Amino acid sequence: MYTALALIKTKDDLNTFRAEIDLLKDSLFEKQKNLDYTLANSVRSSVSQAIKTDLSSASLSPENYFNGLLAELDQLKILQLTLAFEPPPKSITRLSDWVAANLGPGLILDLQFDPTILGGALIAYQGKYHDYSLKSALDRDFSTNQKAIIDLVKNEKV
Amino acid sequence: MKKFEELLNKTGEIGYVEKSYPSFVHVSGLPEARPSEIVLFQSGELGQVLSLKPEFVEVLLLSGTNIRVGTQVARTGDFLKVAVGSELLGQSLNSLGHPLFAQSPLKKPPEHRLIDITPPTIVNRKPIDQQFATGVSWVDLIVPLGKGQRELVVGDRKIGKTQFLLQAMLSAAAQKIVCVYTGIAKRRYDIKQVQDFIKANQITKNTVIVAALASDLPSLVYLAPYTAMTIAEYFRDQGHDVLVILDDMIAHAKYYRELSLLARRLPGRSSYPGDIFYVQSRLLERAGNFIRTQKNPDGTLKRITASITCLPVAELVMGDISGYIQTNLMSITDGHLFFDSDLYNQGRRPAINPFLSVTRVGHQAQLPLFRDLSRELTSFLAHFEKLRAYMHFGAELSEATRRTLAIGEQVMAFLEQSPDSTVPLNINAVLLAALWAGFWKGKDPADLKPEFSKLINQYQTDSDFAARINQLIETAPLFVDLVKLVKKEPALLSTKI
Repeated sequence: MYTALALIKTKDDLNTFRAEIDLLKDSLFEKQKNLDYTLANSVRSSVSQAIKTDLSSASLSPENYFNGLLAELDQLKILQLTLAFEPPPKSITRLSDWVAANLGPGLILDLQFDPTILGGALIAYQGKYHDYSLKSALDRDFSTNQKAIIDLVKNEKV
Repeated sequence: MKKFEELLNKTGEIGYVEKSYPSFVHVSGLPEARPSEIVLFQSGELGQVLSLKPEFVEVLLLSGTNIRVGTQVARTGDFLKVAVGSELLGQSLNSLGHPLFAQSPLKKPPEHRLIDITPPTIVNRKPIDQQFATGVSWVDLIVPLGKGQRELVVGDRKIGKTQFLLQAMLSAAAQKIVCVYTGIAKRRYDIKQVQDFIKANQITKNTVIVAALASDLPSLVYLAPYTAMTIAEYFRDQGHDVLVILDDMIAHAKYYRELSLLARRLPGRSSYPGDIFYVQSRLLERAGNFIRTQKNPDGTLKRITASITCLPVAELVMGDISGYIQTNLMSITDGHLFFDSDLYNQGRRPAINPFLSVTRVGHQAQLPLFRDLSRELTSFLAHFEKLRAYMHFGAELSEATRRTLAIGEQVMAFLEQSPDSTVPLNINAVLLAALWAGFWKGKDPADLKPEFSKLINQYQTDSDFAARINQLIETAPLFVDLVKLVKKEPALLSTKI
């Protein structure tokens, strides 16, 4: 019923979308800048299209539709992903599609950028945390093979 | 930062601050957080898990820095501990066991103990059987305390409670008892005064100060007495008797009320939370007379007895002892010493009202001689007070009444004590016996004080004199016998004057 939800891939998308829905909800009680006006002028075209499609097919009133949509937004779960680089939009879409295909719908990404992790990712979901960064892998290797690495560097110098 | 990352990897859990209140934050995540567990914020601050809700974990902040929403939080898997050891003697610490003021760095003790533990059960306890001499005549002779007793010190503000406590510390240090003074929501100046008193009387190596200033966080004020009790328990386990002073528990209750109201707990009577009794009783139950096991150098175990005597303080308003927290504390403790503002205004020092004071286990800890003396003195004072009230009617007094009044005035002069002096128990008893025997019959009470001071000083400095006094105490089974013995040796007290 809520096809507009498919547009939300990240937490930033969620925040923007929520702001647009609040705007649309307020416009229900406006005379001049009413729902149609706001859909045409104040929200993104993709969002506007999705909402128009939902409203035309749903038997709910616009107010109940928006309330239901907001309730669905509250149910969305967030997967925090910290990367060493800022991914381009194509990569974000690929990641989001992979998550939806393998982990099910209702999951969005909270992407953060931290160059100090060098590579890999830090993943946190519902309080659980996993460190798959290159930095921690190198730290682990160095602490277990410290002597061998130092000897290697010394030999190279010679 | 490295430690924070290590904790994240160790526990495999992360939390995010969702809401920030004064003294609290709400943290989402941390699915396996436990109550009272310590958490570390990404910014380096520490917090303690207060409660677990389905949507968030409520964390009590242990540092004053504002925590921003979105800050990451890691579990430590540990509970709040304080470093304990003999290195703490002579130090002034805060509620977390760190040095209180800028002073020489504290050598970190190796052992750490949990601040909040379940009090020992009855199996590990022994009846109180030894008197705790406070060095204050009013208390030692009339309202005696035992080692391991919890005696509430209650009275209006600025009535001499802290002076009495300092005298008790002085007397305890002379008996090689370790003293832990806890300042709860005190001013910096008040703590400095206690420090100066300890230094001036050279009892630094027997004393530890734990203080939470009034300007500190409510969480630190709340934790201060628990830290003090933990330090006391360490010394108890080393075989030492310990005196713990909690000054004062009303402030402790008020700060706990503030925390509970901020945490949106349902307020009860006088807006205190429903568990205020439990918070203070589980602290005071950690004092007592205990049986501990100690390791011998050869590895075998031996059983020792060691006590924690606790003197919690409760401030009154206009002498009203029917307050909520005051009555709670009275029911938790083994008696109370009531400092009467009327007596204070009449000039009595210390202003202890023996008829409104109670000691539930003090008399069982006394030797039969002192128990008999207490009984005799208490009934005499009650009779004396009645006669004094009767005098106001202006009726003619009989010879016996006048004699009783004269002895009563002398006894009152004997019991009066300056805040910087302590009187050992034995010389106290002998001087009273001498008064009873009529040694100073007809003398003006004002003239007796210097004589008493000289004899007390004599006892503390002349070992032969002290030995003779102690022998009298050991020989006399009851007070009437002591009076007879003192009468037989008039030279003992008169030649030294």
